[in-house]
Parts: sequence; C-alpha cells; structure tokens
Amino acid sequence: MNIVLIWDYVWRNALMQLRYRHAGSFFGPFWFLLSPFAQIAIYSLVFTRIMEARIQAPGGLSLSFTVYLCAGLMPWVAFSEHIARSQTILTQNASFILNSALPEQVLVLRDALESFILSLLSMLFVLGLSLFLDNAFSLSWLALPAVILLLSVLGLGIGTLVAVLAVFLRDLGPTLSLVLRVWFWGTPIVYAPSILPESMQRLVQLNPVYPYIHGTQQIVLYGKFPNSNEWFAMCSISMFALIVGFGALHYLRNELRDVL
Amino acid sequence: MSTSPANMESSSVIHASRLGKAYVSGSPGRALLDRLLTRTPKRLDALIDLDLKIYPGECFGVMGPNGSGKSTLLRLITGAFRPTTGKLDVRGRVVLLDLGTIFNPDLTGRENIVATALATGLRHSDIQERLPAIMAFSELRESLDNPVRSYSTGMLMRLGFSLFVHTQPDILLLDEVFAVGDARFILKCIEKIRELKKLGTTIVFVSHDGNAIRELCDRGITLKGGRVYREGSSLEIVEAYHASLGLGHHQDDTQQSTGEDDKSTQELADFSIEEFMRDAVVPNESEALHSQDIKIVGVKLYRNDRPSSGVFMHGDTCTVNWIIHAHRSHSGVTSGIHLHSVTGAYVFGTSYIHLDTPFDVKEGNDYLLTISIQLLVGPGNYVLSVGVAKPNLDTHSQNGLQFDRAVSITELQVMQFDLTAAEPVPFFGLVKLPAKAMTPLMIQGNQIDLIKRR
Repeated sequence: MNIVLIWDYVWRNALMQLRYRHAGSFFGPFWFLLSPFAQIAIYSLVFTRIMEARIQAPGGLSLSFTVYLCAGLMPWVAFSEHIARSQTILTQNASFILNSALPEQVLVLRDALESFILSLLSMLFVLGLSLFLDNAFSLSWLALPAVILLLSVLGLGIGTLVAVLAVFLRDLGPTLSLVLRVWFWGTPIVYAPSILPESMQRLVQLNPVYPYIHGTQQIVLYGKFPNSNEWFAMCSISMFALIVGFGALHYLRNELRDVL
Repeated sequence: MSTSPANMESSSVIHASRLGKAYVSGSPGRALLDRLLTRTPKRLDALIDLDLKIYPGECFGVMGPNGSGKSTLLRLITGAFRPTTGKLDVRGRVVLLDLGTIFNPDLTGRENIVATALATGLRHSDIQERLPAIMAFSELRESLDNPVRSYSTGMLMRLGFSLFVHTQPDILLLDEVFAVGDARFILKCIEKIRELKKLGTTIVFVSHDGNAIRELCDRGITLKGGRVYREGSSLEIVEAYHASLGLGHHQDDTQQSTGEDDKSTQELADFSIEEFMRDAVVPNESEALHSQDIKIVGVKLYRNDRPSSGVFMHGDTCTVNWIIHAHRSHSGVTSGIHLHSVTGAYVFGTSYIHLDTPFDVKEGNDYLLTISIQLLVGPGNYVLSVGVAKPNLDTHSQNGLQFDRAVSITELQVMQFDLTAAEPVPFFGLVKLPAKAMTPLMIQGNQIDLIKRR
C-alpha cells in the first residue's frame, strides 16, 4: 500500500468523521464550537465581572480577556479532546486493524488531522471575534496555521502513545482525564502567566504545551510572530513526541495486535 | 478444473512454509511489562508448522472446530499478524471479510462504502465509479442512507460482501460470512464468488458449513488445534471436519451414562462395549416415555462397513449399530430407526418387527442391534432417530409400550456427487423410487411407431 493511497484514506476519512461526529445532534457541525463558547462565556464572566482579572493588555480589559481566553482555550480544547479520544481509538477499531493491511498509524493520523482541521476552524472564529472587538488585522496571523499544525503533531505523538498504552492498561481512562485537568490549569489559558509568582512562571515554561498556547495568544492578541527560540522549541517538542509515540507503536505492534 | 496445482508450482499466490503464530497470553498489562523488560512472555500457539500453497483462481476451503486457528491463518494472510515462526508469502491485494464490523458506526452505509473501500487500497475515483454496482448488489436501498449502527448483522454482511467483491481484490478471504444473511442473498454471493473465481481471484473460504465448502471449494484443509488435520479435496476435508468434531459427544458423556451400571466391564465374545462407546453417539436424557425399562445406550454409524462421521454418498449403505440396555425383562420387543429430512419430512422408518422379528430381552443385559439401509435419497441433510418399543401385536395399534427414543441423534449428510463417478444423481426430489422409462413411441394417425434413435 503506497503513501498516496494511505493519505487518500486518512484525509477523506478525517473529513467524513469530522462531518458526522455530531451528525445526529441538533446543532450539527456547530456543536464543536458550542462547548468551548460556553466555557469562554463562563470564564469571561467569572474572571472579568466577578474576580476582575489582572491582564495588562491594550484595549478594554474585559474584551481583551475574552480574546485572550479564546486564543488559548480553542487550541487547547481541540488538543485535549484529541488526546482523550485517542485512548479508545485502537480498541474501538480492533476489527478494522485485524482485518486490513493498513497500519495502526492511519487511525491516529486520521484523528490528528480531524483535530487539526477543527482547531483551524475554531481559530477562524477567534480571529473573527478579534477583528470584531479590536478591529486590528495583523500579518502575524499567517503564522497561526503553522503553530496549530505543530500543536496537532504534538497531539498526534502523545495521542499515539496514549492509544498504544490504553490497549495494555485498560484502566488508563480515569488517570488520563485527571492528568488533562491538571494540565489545563497548569497552562496559562484562563489566567496570564504574569499574575504568577516568579518561581511559578519558570515552572509554567517547562510545560510542553506552553510554547504553543503562548504562541497563539501572542499572535492573536499582540500580533507578534513567535521568535526563533519559540519556533525551535515547538518543532523539537513536536518531533520528540512524534518519535516517542510512533516508536512505542512500532515497538509494541506485535503484542498490541495479540491482546487487542 | 481451471487450476492444476502440479503445473502451477511456481505461481502460488499464498505460500506458507512451517508457518506458526503464537499469541501473547495472559493480561495485557503483563504483556506490556514482559516486552519492556524483554522477558519471554507466556505464549499460546494458535497455528503450528503450517505448510500451504494456494494458487491463483482457486477457491480454498478452511474448516476446523472453534479455536483451531482458522481466523488466525486469515489474519496472517492479510498481514494483520506477523508470523511467529516460519515464512508466509502473499502476492496481491488481500481483503478479509468476517462478521466483526470494520465499518464506522456513525457513517451511513453509503459513506462507509467509500470510507472502507479506501482502506482496501482503491483510489477515490475508482470507488465512485463502482458505487452504483456495490449499492445495487447489496439490495439495501434506503437503508444505505441510515447510519451503520442501525444495521443488523445480516445487513452488515450484505454491505461488506457487496463492497469487497467489487473492489476486485487478488485474494478474497471470507470468514464464516454465510452464517448470517438470508438464503437468497447467500446464493447470490455464491454466484458472485464463482464469477470472481473465473476472473482469477483467489478465494480462501472459512466455514463450518460442509455444504457451502463442497459447493464452492476445489480443495482445502481442516485444522485442529492449530495443525493441519487433513489436506485434500473439499469432500475429504468436510469428512475430516466431521470426524474432528467427534459428532459432539465424547467419552465424558459415555462414562456418565454407563458409569452407574458399570457396564463398561462387560464383554461379549470379542466385542467390547467400551470400544464401541468410544466413538458412539450417546443420546441425551430423553423425555419420559411409558416405561424406562429399556434404554438406548449408544448409536454408531458405518458407511460401507467403515465407521462414518455422517457424510455419505447417494447410494451408500448406511449401517446403524446401537446398543440397548434392559433394566427389566420383556418379550416381543422391537427397535428401529427413523430418517427425517432436516426440513421435517419423515423419509423412512423401519424396525425389527418389519425386517426380522420381535425379540426378548433379559434384565441386566445389553443388546447390539444393527439395521442397514441403502441411502437412495436425494442430496441433503437428514436426521436419524432410534427408538425401542414393545408393540401391541394383538391390535396392531400404537397402544404398545415405548421404552426409549433417541430423537435426531445424529445427522446424515448425503452428497450429490461421487468422487469417482462424477455423475449427478439421476433423479429429482427426496427419494429415488424404483422407476423405469419405455422407449418413446411416435403416434401417426392410428398407429404408433418407434422413433428413430440417434
């Protein structure tokens, strides 16, 4: 099976799955936006009206906070949902894996691609919101797809590792949702890193997903391109995750199919 | 026959040599730990030392009891599993259809055709081209626009079969697909398979259904415990399969029914009940009849004087041996057999009172009874029942005593073709009645005349 055919399978299936993941629901394809929007509304309300968030940003405080929140939350939601979904992708598709000559990679690739498209779409909404509120277009927005792509690759790597481990460790689910929850609050999404004490700020920068989220926030909010260090960090983290994920899959392939 | 293995030696599409597959057994967590610590895991052999060559355009049957390695073999051929030992060469594009669904439950039938066909290695444009043919073959009509999660297993089979045969694979693997689906669609599938075979598609067909195997396959193997139990013509493997099942009754049952009476120690001349019972069929506990005085202990079939697993040729002599045990003495006892078709028609029945004479039994003794019948019946499946009773000879009515009845104790499969004389059975219907035809006569005015024979 050559790479063209595999790619044909992956992207067409990703599109179909994207289209039909919520086919049965009333809101149809807009459902995937509804959940993050609800979250954004709640956080905006809590942090701007009730707790008065301290964000030093140009423009009105409450409006900027909403944009800031969107810029970080949208990619995070796609990223974390992709990882959460990964844990069942191999067990749910056991029959497919055991009956076809296609490698497991097509399944994880399919979901990663779906997540990438989802993030891109949601970022379009964020940019639209930003235009509406701040009325400022920035050339740096063109870097956004690249950052989202690198984040999706990180998701692909971690997702693959999770998918493989979930086959062997059937009780991975609860642990994973706890990890994702802690990870969410350990990432400056609903708060700005500047409100943290200095020691914590350094700790936050060790968070592997921080460069990506920080990148999208900088692009959307301040129109700033990520600098070369940040690009380097994102590329190397994504590559590392990909190598670990696919390496685990390759290393455990035979055992994986035996216990599936 | 389109294939002749002898002169196609070099061009096998599937070639296994000393092929073995062992699964990692035990808990998945344990398997992971073993792998990480590079320890040798506990393994379970699913397939051992398999040698196999399958040639283009062949329909190869695979039979065997559950867990004998049939599905493992297919998954090795698709490449889903790698051989643990030995070698396997497969040439061409392979698709495997079984009853596990490979469809995405959220997508509709139509979308799943596209999504799944992509996984078989077809280009999107090719699939679009074949979509109408696939949809028409499946006969699913409006259901094709419903999500696959609402499909029954029969519908899933229709969708899968329609899709896979239209992807024009080089090798088509079918795993027990005809266990679901209605008879008419299955016939259509069988026609389609024949068509593919003519086009050169190699088919590997796994089934428990001897008729389907004989219908479709040229040759094949019967697996047992991961090894080749028998390799040969489809008829041979069907017979071997029946033998490998031991008709479902084994010594455990035997001991259960003979244990309390300790009959197994009794011997009659050079006849050993123990030996007889080793591969005899033991009736299940039957319903209470008038009297429990005489019980049927075991039944055994012979085909032309050799022990039979239940597969017969039309015209074969089927000898039924059975042993009864008398718990009380009786005189004027008869015992007989009944043959029913699987569709329920009572084909034939006879007993000692018809063929010989009623006999007396003495308390505590066992009796070996034998009736031979020539199977002048049409091809198909039949069930044999055995009974023992004491007829009321005065009135010739049915008011006698029924002691025991082993209903449908064993199945007879009567086949249409003889291996040696490849001639079809020269009649239609269930039974071959004695029949004769006169030379056709031509009527000319008031006269009749012999017609000229070519």
